Amino acid sequence: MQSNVKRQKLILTSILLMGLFTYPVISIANKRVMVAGIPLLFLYVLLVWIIAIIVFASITNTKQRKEDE
Amino acid sequence: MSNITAILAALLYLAILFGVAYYAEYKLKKGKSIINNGYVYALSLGVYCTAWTYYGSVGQASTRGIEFLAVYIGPTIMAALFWPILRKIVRICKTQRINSIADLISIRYGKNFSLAVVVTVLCILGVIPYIALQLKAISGSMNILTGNTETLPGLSNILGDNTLYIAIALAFFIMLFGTRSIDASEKHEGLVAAIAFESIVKLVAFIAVGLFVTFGLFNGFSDIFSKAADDPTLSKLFQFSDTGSYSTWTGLILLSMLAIIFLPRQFHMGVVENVKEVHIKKAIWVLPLYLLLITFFVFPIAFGGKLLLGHTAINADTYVLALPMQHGAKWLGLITFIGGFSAATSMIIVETIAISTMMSNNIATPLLLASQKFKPKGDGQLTNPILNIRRFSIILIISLAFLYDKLVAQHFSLVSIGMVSFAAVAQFAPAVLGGIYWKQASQKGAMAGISIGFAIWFFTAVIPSLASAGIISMNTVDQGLFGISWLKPLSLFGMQGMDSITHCFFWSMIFNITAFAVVSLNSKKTGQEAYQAEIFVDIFRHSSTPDSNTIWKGTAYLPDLNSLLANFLGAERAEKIIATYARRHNISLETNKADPRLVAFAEKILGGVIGSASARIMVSSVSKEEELTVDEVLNILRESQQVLGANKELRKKSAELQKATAQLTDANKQLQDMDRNKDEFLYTVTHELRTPLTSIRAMAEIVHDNTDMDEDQREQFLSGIIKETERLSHLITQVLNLEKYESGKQLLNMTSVQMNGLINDAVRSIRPLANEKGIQTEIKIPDSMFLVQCDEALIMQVLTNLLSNAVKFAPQNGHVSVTLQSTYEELQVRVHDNGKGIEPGLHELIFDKFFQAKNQTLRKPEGSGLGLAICKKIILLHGGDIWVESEDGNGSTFIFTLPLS
Amino acid sequence: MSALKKILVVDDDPYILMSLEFLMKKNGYDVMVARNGKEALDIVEKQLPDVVLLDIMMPDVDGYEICRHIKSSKKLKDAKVVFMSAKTKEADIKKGYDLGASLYITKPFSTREMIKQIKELIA
Repeated sequence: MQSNVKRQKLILTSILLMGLFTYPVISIANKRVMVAGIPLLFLYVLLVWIIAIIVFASITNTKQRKEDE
Repeated sequence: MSNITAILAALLYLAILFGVAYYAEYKLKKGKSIINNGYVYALSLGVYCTAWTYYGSVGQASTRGIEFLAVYIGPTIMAALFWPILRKIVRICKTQRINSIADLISIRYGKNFSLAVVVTVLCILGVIPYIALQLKAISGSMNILTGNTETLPGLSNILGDNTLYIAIALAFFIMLFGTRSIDASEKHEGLVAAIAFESIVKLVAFIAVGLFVTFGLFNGFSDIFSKAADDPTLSKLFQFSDTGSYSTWTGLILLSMLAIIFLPRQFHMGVVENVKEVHIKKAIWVLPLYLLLITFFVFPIAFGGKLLLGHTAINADTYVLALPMQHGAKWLGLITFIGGFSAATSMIIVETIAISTMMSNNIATPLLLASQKFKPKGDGQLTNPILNIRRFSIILIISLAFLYDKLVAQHFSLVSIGMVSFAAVAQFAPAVLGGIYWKQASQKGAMAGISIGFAIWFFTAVIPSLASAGIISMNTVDQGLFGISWLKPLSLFGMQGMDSITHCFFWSMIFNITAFAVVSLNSKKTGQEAYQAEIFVDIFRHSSTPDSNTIWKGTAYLPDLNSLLANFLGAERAEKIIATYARRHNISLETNKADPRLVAFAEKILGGVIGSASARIMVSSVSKEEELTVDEVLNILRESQQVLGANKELRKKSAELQKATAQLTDANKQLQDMDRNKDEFLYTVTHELRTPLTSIRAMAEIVHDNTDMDEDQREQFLSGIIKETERLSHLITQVLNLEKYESGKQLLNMTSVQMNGLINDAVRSIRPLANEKGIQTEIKIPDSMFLVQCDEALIMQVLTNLLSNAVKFAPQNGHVSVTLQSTYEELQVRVHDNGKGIEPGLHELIFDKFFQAKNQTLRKPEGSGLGLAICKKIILLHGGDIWVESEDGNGSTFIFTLPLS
Repeated sequence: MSALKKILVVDDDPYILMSLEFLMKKNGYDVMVARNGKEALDIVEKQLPDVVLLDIMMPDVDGYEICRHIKSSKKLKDAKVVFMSAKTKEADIKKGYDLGASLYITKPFSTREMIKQIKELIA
């Protein structure tokens, strides 16, 4: 049960990421703007990426006893 | 830096790699596995980052901007799906002893031989250029390191080429750590450790260069980016240029999502070498983090390189190494070289092992076995040939890659070959993913999908690159196949606006998936296929009992099977394996005919050694198999599933039941005992009541009916009535008392009692009875006083009871005595008579309720049969003890004790 | 009119013995009493009673045993056995009849009823 929820969370995250990383959402960051000296697009990808890693870690690190479906 | 230094550094690094691998295997022998760790697993997946990442992404970023990142963002998105997808594949491969992607596909689709061959060939074609690319990177980076700008394509100076020696050393390493055991499904401890180590080396080296460029050559990130922003060609790279690059971006993301699982090296590290499924959970976030870190400095190095070296002829692919070298950081250059070297070697090593396993298992071994007219002799004769085939495959692959590098690859940039390779392995995705989630997927469907995908890949990706390399003419590319304009490799059906890789990926996938699905839905499956489909799709249901369901039907003989296994594993090991399996599954080895489960097991074991296709050929060579129909298979499977499920459930239930039953039986027994005791007690009580009631009624009726009887007689009957009534009421009192003591309702009225006095009183009270029988009573009490805490009335009752019993049992003119003694802890009262005594066997029984009634021979008139039982209860309530000592003919002594404290 | 019918009463309870002796005499039977099993066996052998009123639970030899003895003896085979017992369980009663008893009277009983039954039995 618990594992199933985790699996669903992971699948949902990957769908969200797919949305955030591709057109049209990514076009929001596709501007000729520098933020803190870094191109906005690069910064956007970097931030989404970092957040994704944090989310993955928090989903997978929740303690649970049973690993089975 | 001299050539010698460079090659020494590379060889030294390889020596360290050997050391790491040896250390891991040494540790394993000592019982500790260093690769049994989620981080090591995640790092080993870092084999994804090759020389292409290390050198090529900088080149890519400096010309196409952010696009290269798609290759790392795809795996990041896919990482989230590792748990549902990769874990399922791992589970399937573990239970089915699958050790390559070719095996996975062929086993899923009915252990189909030709499918395995097609997959293997596609892998070889798709991946050998990719390996060549790594060799090219090594030689290229060595040239930069040594300042040798002259590259010599072709084989003219082969002996003077460093890459040759590197390739030989690598082949040696791979053979040493990749072909340890004949069972390819066993883990390669040293190999995994080495690959994880390489992942660290390349990451550290790349970050070192990144830091050097960003903070050594520039003043941090914003410095680089602001300088780049001033350059119009560079600032263009800060953005997607048009919608075309959006589609390329998305296409590359999708492509690399598949690559992170289906590239042979990824499959090998991620699936075959996976030690525990839980490790996948670590990889889900560690791998994306690794990818982020290793690409973090790509933009700074790319823009930095362009800004500093853009005016030179230096290829952007080599900026990583060129920047430190050009700026005098020779040592950093060496470290960078080692980093790139490690990226290249890790890829070469793992890819070669993966491909060589496929080659030897799916092509070479079946050919060998077929050509030898194989007869099992059972002496392990095939162990060495098979290991040799695998070693030969390794050498062949490295050689092919080497030749490809020398003859062809010099014409390509690093990245394009990599992407072609990605697109090749993506062709497996529909067959594999469909195979593990869709039961309807069929062998013909998989074959159709992979074949057509393969063809389109070749046409749209390979032909153009061969043409642009000048190997074939440009005619096809320019004018289309056979001059048909809508068959142009780069704009199939006239489609335009995509780069060549996305274009290839798009069309090959469309055709692949469509063919796969359509053919699957329209083809009939064999029993074998249906069985595998069932197993694969529902692996989590089946894997808990992987060996128990067997659908093999036919005849095989045990000795044949035995010698078959012995050919590959040696006689001793084969026998041990079979015996262990038979024992675990309660299969008799006495009979000559082999149990179907044993046959299936043997095939699975062989599958781990020589691949499923060969294993199937082998097993069928010693057995006569009958074809099963799909329905038969599914029935067997479902039945066994149900039976297994039911069995499991039953076992659980029956264990619970057993426990419950035991508890119930216990409780019931207690209840029954209580009940029986109670029944018996009641029965005895009513029985005891009936006798006096009978005489009372009889006598009363007589007196009533016979008014004429003489006075004497009437007197006799009336006094009889009175006596019997007394007896009745006494009995009732006793029963009630006993009930009171037993139920614990009786509360003791404890007072300090002078025992001497109590005994005197008791003896005095029975004296009349004793005198009647002429019995002498004697009291033996010490002079001192004895005070004891007790319920005076109850102890008096005990004393009276024991004394009257004594008087009863003593013979005419006999004697009865009471003795009182004490120790520090207790007071002891002994009541003795000189009657005939009680036989030893009854010493305990006489304290039971109604003991007399049950033992007619001892029955005495007037006893209720409850006296001693009541005495015992009273004494026990006081915390004392009561028992009898008696020898036949010497009378008996009843003794009770009372605690003094 | 034949000779007086001989009745043997066997019981270890003195009051019951006393009562039945009185009653049987009064009803015109030739009464003998036995206080225990041994005495009873002795008397049946010598006196060949027509009816034996038998208690079951006695010290030494129990009533069943005596009945078995009577029923297995040729010269006693016409003697009628009447059990009178405080044993009221089905099994005990059945056992009594199985051994060949004519009647099984459970204690406590009415002496009036009992006399009536014995008269019927002998008639």
